[in-house]
Amino acid sequence: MDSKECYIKMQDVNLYYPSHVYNAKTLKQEVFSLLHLKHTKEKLQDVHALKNFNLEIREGERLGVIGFNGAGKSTLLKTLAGIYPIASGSMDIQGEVRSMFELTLGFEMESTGRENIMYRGLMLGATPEEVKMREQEIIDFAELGEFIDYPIRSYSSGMLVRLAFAISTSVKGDILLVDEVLSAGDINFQKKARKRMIDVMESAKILVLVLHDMKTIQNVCTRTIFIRQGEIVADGKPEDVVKEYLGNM
Amino acid sequence: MIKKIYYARYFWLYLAKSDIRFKYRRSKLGSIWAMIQPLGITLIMATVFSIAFDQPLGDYAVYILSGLIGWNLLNASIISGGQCLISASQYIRQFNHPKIIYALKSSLVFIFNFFMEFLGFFIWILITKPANLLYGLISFPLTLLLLFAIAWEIIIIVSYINAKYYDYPQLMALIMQAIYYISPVFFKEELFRSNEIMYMVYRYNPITHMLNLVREPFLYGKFPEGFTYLYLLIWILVLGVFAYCSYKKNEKTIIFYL
Repeated sequence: MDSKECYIKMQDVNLYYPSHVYNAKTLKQEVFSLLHLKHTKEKLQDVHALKNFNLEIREGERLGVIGFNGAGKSTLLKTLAGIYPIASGSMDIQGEVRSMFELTLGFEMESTGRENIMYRGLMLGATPEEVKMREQEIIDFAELGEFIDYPIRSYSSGMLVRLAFAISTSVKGDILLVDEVLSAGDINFQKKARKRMIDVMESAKILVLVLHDMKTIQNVCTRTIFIRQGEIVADGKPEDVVKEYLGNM
Repeated sequence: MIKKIYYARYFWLYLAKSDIRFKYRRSKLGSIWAMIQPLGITLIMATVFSIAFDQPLGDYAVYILSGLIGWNLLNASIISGGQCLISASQYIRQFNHPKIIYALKSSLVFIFNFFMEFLGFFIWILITKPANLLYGLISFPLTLLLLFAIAWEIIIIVSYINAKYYDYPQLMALIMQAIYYISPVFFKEELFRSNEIMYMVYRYNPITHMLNLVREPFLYGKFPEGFTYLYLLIWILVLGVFAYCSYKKNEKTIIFYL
């Protein structure tokens, strides 16, 4: 890991979801609209998902991101993770970024739990030896026992979530981006998961957490931003920002 | 970019390995199937020709086999290769690995498949023309490298196209059928000599030279001609430029199509 101080700097960042992808027509639609047999479907506009976004996060900060659905919270995380390209502005990140988004996405259903541990671990940037070292701990934490050698299509959804959670939380990084993944499995597992999640979050040098649970935001985060329509409308202490957010409802 | 590919090396290597395992999972013969398939097709044709048309294929059978294995690699790269980003969309939406690792993975899988198919051909040659093996084995490493480069470049290009235009595989299957008839997969050189234009098509068809990389040494006991190497290198260069440009143009924005 890098010993340099970690930070995230976003300056005047704009991000659009291009509309032409969603405006694509089939040949049938093209012909029909050409012959005026059918009303052309209304053209969608580019979605301006992040607007002149300025954000600086320093090492040690645990940033909560709150806002209504569609405000741009997940977009912000995916932009920080380098998944979405920015249209303008600058983004400078120092530190290894680790993201936890949709945990159960990208599992190979025909492969066994053990193979999937390897998959996910390698995908997260670990070496095969590192994954092997953590394998038993992951199996134990996910409480899968002998099922680990069964193909995961035979798992219940709870087992799958537990496995996904255990794997994702086993690989650490400097900058942790977390999108709504605190609730996993049944009540018993949730307690355990929460503890582990908080451990992981606290060991990260920078945490960016998107969550609808205001209590956890206030417990875990040192700073919170409130996003509306791709813009930051409040930035400050979690208690204050949460209060403003709740006042907006 | 190269650093990033290297950083993700365990991931794409594992993806390739599990693709290969997955394809033949639950089958008794496993990847030996890749060896049996073209061999089986060739044997069926040979049998049909000798019984139904009373024309034993003799040496022509192994010519067909050598054509089939090369063609299968190209066909897989151009058609199935297009799917590689779409099928990896779940990974792409979560992790910022360079997208070309998925094309790299597919080319590794296809080259492995080619190698398995080649083994069947190799055994055939071992029995019928052992004298040619020396030329074959000396030239084969370079052959494999050239074919791998071609496959990877093609897959990079077509994977972006396919992710944007879902009509791609259907359309391309038709085009490949047309290309098939102007390529010496089944047809021998003599057939193309009937008129000048056909012979030009034959001579400057890169597929001719791809297949010659295997045919010349293993079937005819000589090294592929210099022109074959030169011409394929030019193609690799041109495809490389195209691959690089489509990478530059699409790498960042392709996520919106997935």
